[in-house]
Amino acid sequence: MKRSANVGGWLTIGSVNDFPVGETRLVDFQSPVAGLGDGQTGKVACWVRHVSAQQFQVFAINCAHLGCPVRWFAQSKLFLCPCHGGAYYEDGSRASGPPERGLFEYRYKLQGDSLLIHAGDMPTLATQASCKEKPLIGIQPAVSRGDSMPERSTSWQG
Amino acid sequence: MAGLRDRVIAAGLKSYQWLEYRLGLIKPMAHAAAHRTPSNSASWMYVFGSAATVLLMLQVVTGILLALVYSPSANETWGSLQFLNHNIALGWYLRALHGWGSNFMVAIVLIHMVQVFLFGAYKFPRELTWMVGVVLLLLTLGMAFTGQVMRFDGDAYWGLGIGASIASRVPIIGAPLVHLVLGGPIIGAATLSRFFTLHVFLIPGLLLAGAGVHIWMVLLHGVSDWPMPGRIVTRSTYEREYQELTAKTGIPFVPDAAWKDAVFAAAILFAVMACAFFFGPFGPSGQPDPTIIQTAPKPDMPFLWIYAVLAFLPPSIETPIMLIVPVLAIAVMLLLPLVAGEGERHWARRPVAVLMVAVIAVSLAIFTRLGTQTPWSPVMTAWTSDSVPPKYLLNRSPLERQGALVLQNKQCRNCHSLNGVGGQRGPALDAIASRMTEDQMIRQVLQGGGNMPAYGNALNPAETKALVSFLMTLRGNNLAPAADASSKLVNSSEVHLPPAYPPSPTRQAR
Repeated sequence: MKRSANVGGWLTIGSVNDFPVGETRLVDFQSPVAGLGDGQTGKVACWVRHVSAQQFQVFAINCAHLGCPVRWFAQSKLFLCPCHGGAYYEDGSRASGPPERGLFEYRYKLQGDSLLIHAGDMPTLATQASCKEKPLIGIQPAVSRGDSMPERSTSWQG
Repeated sequence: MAGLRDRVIAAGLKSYQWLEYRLGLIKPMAHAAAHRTPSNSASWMYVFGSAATVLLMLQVVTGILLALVYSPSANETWGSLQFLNHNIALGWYLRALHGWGSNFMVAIVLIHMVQVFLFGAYKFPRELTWMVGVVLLLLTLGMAFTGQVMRFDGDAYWGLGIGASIASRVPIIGAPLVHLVLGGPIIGAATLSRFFTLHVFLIPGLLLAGAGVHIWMVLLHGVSDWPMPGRIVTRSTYEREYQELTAKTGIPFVPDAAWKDAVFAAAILFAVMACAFFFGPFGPSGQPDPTIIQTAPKPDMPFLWIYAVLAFLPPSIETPIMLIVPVLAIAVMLLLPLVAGEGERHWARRPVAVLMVAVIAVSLAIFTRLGTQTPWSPVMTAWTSDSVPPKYLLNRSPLERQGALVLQNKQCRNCHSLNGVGGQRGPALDAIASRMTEDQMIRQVLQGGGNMPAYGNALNPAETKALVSFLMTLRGNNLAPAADASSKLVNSSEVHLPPAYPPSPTRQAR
């Protein structure tokens, strides 16, 4: 059996200039594993966060709880899930609600001006190997976010 | 003329004899239909099983008709359903009959099960009839879930995603299991094909065969007699007593008992037709396009309670509960007649059974109701669509009004309601200042906690100050503001003894 990490492949999802630094944008792409008969279901969406010049985060839209599509709210800097109310911070880490971990992340690389990601399996707790490695059962406590806050970039903390 | 009539009757009789001589089924079937059954089993409480069978037939017939147009291809399904809804004469009605028939069937099967349980009809010698019935319930639910996938709209797509996410939580074999469910790495053509196979070939085949076995066993052991308090079921005496009762009070099942089944089944069919006519077909909703994320997926009625339960389980025990509880529940249902195969049948003597049914029914009803309202979900559009009530802006300082703007802009309304409008994930804010002091609010907003994310990153000091100033004005119906009991002590340099303690008399004497 193929290892999940080998399912799929690299594809370009845009130019670096399409993503202003500090913003998070929705990008659609055709899944590299989609076939002719898949129609619309072969499409995939992901959230691209341009952290700094060379640094990105590419999040799956599938909530880590049960896979519903999360939406980005730029003002409150949160990803919110419509199904059961899972919430994630701008860096994809768990904020509150039923998810037991942060958002799934795609592996990415920059080739010249292009942003490439590795996509394949629909991201779930078991098939996230095609995404960036993250602890599978590491349950992140929601309450302790406050303690670790100084580590996160905060505009007003300078 | 009379001669012609006699000749037609004679020809008919001859044809029947020709057929029955070769087939040999009509006489035994007529005999089985007219078998004698205790007169107390001819009750309006005994009509649910036959109604479920009639609904199964309705589903088979409407399903076959739908399959004439339905196209099980990820590319075309959604379009073919639109075609059925809008371009084919009464196509919408056919879809509505099938959809409402499904809801009614799940409901009637559950009612049938509750009736059999409360009447103790699963006890000897009908243990296996009950166990096959449990399998039939699971198959019915399987039909309902796969039927929802057949609609192949946005809800079906994300419903499959939820199914795959649950499968992915199985230890060790999670990934292969997801691939098995989806038929590949993503939800697509292969997924629809395998759910079509399940919905149209595999599960209906098992359901029809299982229903056949179920009915055969009902004929074999007879319809259970009406339970009486104190009439105990034992393996050694029950069948003799049942035969005596049948001999004494027996009536032919058809027509003396079966007419009630026929009337009830007709009423149920009529109800399905009426619901289908007045409420129409289910969906399809938006297209199965995963890039359309402005959606709030929700399962069909029979699964809403599961959807609600999944919102309440704590993350640390969710996976074990999700994987172990269903297995246990099914095992308990299957093993019930083996554990309690003898004894009292009447509900008045089985308080635990009655209590279980009541608790489970109320729980299912509450969770289903919650599933329709989803109070745990943020209202994604509340921050732009719901206005701050004018009464909360009247006579407020500029800073406080600025705070109301921050409240809207920072999307607080998605989870918090004002004047009953907005999200219900967090508490309503109408009287927040009567529950929290300014310091507590600042801490809660910046650091989060409980079920609230931290907003330290999303708010600058000026915004925080304005927001909390506004929140401090929200004291409901002029309730007293929350006070920190220890603040006076902490803030003052000296400790003043409260006047409750009078100066000591000895000191006074000095």
